[in-house]
Amino acid sequence: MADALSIDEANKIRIAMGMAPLPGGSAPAPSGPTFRAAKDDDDSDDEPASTVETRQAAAYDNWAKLQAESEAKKKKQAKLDAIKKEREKAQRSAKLEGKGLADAAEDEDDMAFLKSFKKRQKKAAKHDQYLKEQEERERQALEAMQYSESDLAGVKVGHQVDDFEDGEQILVLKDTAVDEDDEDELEAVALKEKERLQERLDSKKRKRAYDPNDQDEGGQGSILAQYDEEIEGKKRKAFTLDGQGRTVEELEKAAVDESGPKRVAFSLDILKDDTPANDYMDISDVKIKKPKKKKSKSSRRKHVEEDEDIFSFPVDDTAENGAMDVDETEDAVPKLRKKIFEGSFVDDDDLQATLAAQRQKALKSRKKMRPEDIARQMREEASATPDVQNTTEGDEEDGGLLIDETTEFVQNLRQESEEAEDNRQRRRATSARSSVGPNTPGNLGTGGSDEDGDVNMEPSGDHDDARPRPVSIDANATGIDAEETVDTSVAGTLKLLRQRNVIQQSSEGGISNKAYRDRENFLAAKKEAEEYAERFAKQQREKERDSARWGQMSAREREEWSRKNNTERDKIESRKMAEIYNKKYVPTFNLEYVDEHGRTMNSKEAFKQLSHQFHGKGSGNTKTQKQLDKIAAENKKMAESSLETSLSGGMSTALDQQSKKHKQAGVRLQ
Amino acid sequence: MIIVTVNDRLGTKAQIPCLASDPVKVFKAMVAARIGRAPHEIMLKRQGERPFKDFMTLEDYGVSNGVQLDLELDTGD
Repeated sequence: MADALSIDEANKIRIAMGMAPLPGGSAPAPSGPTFRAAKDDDDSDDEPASTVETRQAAAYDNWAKLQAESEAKKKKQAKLDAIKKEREKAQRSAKLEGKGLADAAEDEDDMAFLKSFKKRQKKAAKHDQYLKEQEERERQALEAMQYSESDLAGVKVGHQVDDFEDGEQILVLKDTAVDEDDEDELEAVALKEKERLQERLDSKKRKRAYDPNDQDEGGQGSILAQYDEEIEGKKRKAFTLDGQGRTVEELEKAAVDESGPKRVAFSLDILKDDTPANDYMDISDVKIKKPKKKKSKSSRRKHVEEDEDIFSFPVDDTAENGAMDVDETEDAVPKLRKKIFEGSFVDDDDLQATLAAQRQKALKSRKKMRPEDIARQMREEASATPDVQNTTEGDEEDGGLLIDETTEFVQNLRQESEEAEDNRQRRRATSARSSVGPNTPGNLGTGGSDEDGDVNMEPSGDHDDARPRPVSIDANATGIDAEETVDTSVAGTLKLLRQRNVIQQSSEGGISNKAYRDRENFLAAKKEAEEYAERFAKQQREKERDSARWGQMSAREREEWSRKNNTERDKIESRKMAEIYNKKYVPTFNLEYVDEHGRTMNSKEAFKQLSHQFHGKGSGNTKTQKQLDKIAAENKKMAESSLETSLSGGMSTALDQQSKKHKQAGVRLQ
Repeated sequence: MIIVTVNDRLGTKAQIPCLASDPVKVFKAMVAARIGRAPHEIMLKRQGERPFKDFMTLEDYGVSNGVQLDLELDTGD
């Protein structure tokens, strides 16, 4: 708490600064009563309507004042109204100034009026005409002012006519120097802008010197047209208006066109017909020949033909004379050799030519010699030297005669025919002889006891020979059996199937047979035991019913008893059965899997099928197709004859494969 | 009336009676009278705040009875 002294000091400063003094100072600032400053107003209170009296006193004054005010207002309004009225009146009178119709007439006379009327009418007509004339003049002036297309005759426009095709354009006079005496030219600002833009774009393009597409229709492009602009300056595109809606250039051109040669339009559509619609051929038109596999076949045939060449002569000869084959084969071999030589030496043309001529000669000379002639010649030679055959045979043996199935087969064929011929001859002989003296079986049996032993011996030998020999006629001798057929017998069928490996030739056939027998035995024993048990039960039951005890027992006791007996019998029976099972029953399991085609599968296939079933998806398309093909091939093979030689199937292909596997070369003859 | 303490923490401490509605300028004058330094050399501030402006009143700065203000030397910048 500041003491009063400090407050006082502060007050002093405050007062000096014009601030209110602090309260609570020790020295009271106003000492004694303070008075309000006297006002120089009238004596009325500063609170006028504080009492009823003052209010009443003021009331009259107030009313009087109000009255005076309203009076003054009224007076003012009246004065304003009067002024307004006066002004309007003045205006009205101002409008009515001048002479009236009646006032205007100077002379009051009707005649005079009528006279003057005519004059006045004339005057009015004159005025009207004047007005009309003036109007006409104005119109003409306006027309003269108007600007029409005729005014534009001879004015140049700095654009092509084609540029104006799209929409209206505003043409303005081109900017030129004032002193230049060029004629006026019109141009459209927008078009000019467009042209400039086009030019700029063109300049950006890399222009080719020669553009065949750019030539005009006549093909009359000037030579080295690309330099035209440089030499002659830029060609201005412009036309001149002729004032009748056409251009001067147009008129000129029309005139030129009329005078110039007329061009004939030529349609190119006729050329279109020949052009193919598509460069590529239609697939339906194309036929693709499947290339046949001729090559191997032809080569083989050639081979065979060569072989035939070798063999043909000997066969023919042996038909007449068996002794000559060696010579002929020797003869044939050089022929073959010549053929080879022809191909190999082509270097010396002269030599070749001479050789060819020689060969031709030789061939001609040989051709004259027919086989018959050769044969005759040979026979003569043979008769001349009877031991020729032996020598040749010796030669053959020296060279190493190979006897295999094939040679045997061929030999057989020949022997067959010879023997047949012999037989025929002998039979003729015997028949002739039998007509002379009949031969009885008794004769044969007695043999030499006849009077003519020589004669006796012959027929018996004859008979042996002449007896038909089915064995030799059979192909057995050749080592190749005729295939068994299904229509003869079951055994034959079985054999056929065995041959084709359709049925496996099981080595354990005996064992399986034994098992089968055992099983049958077991089944029979079982059946017998069962039957016996049944019979036995029946007997026992009858015996029970006949027994003395049965009569004494009640129904329930009987039932009980029979049931007991039944169970006992059952026990005995089952024991017997078990015995039989133990003794004779051998369980065998043979799992067989059959696929959807009815073929039995081997374990691998079966596993595959199970796997497919388990996984719920089978082989793909190709694999399935392969399998089907395999099955089809098997079936086909089954249906074919085993001796089929065609390339497609049969045993021969199998044999081929086998021989190939074992690397044995050989040709099958039949 | 309020009493405000002015302290420069260097040995000068004064208690000044004033009104809350007084401008800071007047207050400075009273301080100046008390401590013997020219009013324009006096800077007043609450601790840690910015200095008082002359045309504001003490009320505006929330100065009430018994408040202590820091007294500093105002160098004019």
